Amino acid sequence: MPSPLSAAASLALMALVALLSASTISPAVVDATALTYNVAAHERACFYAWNDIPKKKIAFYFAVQSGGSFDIDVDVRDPNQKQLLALEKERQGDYVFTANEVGEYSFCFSNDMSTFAEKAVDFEISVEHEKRAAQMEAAEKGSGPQAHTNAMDESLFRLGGELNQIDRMQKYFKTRENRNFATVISTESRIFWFSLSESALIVIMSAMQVFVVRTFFSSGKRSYV
Amino acid sequence: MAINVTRWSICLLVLLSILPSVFGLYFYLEGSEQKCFTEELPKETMVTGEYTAEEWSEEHNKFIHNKEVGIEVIVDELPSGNRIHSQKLSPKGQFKFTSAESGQHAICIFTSTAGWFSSTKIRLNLDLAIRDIMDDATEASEGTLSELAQRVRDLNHKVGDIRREQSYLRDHEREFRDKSEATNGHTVTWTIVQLVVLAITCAWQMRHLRGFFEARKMI
Repeated sequence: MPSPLSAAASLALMALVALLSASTISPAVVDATALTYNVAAHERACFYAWNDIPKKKIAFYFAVQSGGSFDIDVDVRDPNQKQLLALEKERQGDYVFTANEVGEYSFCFSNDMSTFAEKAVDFEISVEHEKRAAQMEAAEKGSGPQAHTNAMDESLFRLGGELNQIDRMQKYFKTRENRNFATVISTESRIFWFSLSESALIVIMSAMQVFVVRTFFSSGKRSYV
Repeated sequence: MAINVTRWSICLLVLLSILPSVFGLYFYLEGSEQKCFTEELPKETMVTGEYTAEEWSEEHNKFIHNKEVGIEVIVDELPSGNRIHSQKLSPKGQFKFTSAESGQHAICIFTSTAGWFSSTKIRLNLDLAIRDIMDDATEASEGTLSELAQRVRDLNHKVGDIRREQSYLRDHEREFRDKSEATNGHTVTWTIVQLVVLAITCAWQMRHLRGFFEARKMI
């Protein structure tokens, strides 16, 4: 039976592969902002992106870097408050939406499941530039001024796409490494406390044994032994 | 047909009036609420933040650019809590600071004009870049850049980001390995401590019981 950890890892890898393949098919100029925010216990933090032209692609990446069981609730809504994505207790995710509406798209993180653990969430929201999309459409139709694509142009886009892939892979490793670090710290503390409590238990048990044996031989002089 | 055109132009006008000034990531601040972002920075790195703040005005029923609004930025080094940067700024502009030590830093933004009438709602567009934006300005002043050159420069910045992330990961991994090996060492230490405690307790128990039985003349 695969552990939930390996299932989550394989899901993340699948999402990564999906994004990598998507980015190689259509590399685009993006306007991205990456931030790390600490979501306090029972806090709901929302971030917004504005879409001015329909059919732009919005890419949303998030990964919980530290805190509790490294998971968080995510809620993404379009300008009409329709829910595009609703996730519960997710560790990391990489999604691309086609923004059909013009308006404010909201990306909310909710830390209701923690009583006191604060979660650090690394997220990146990027909106594809319209200009490049229009150029690509023109190139595909063979009617625009760049119907015959420049070799330099193409190689720059490929470079950009490859660099994005490297960046994504790095982020994936960074998240995993943070989790490993938390595991080691937890192991250290467990070893310490368990050793201490075991030593205390040995001493107490031995004292109890001595006491019981003494009471066997002290109460009256009847030979129960 | 004419009605449709006027309707669309009205819609567009309304839409344009509520558009944020800079397209990018933004969030809302209510009253004197502060939002903090953490960044892992290597030492002596310059960070530049570009932001635009708009205030909700009831009269116009939209977010407007208000020169009276003051935005304050504070940067703290997280493990020690040292404040390395504190600045009061105008509603639109950029702030820069340089990290002294490598480690986690918290960058907090809030409005400094809210005070006690905390019903102001501020929309804040923010973009953080971990590099010196002055480099871009000096490069741009050398002449008009073609689109390709601009793209190459963006790629260069991206490569710089990846390298920086890599060296952070390398340091973090070194720390991780040290901690792993220390934990491994502690496993042995604490087990030996436990064995010692066990042996001492055993010896004491035997000695005590022997004394007890000898006193009772049973041995």
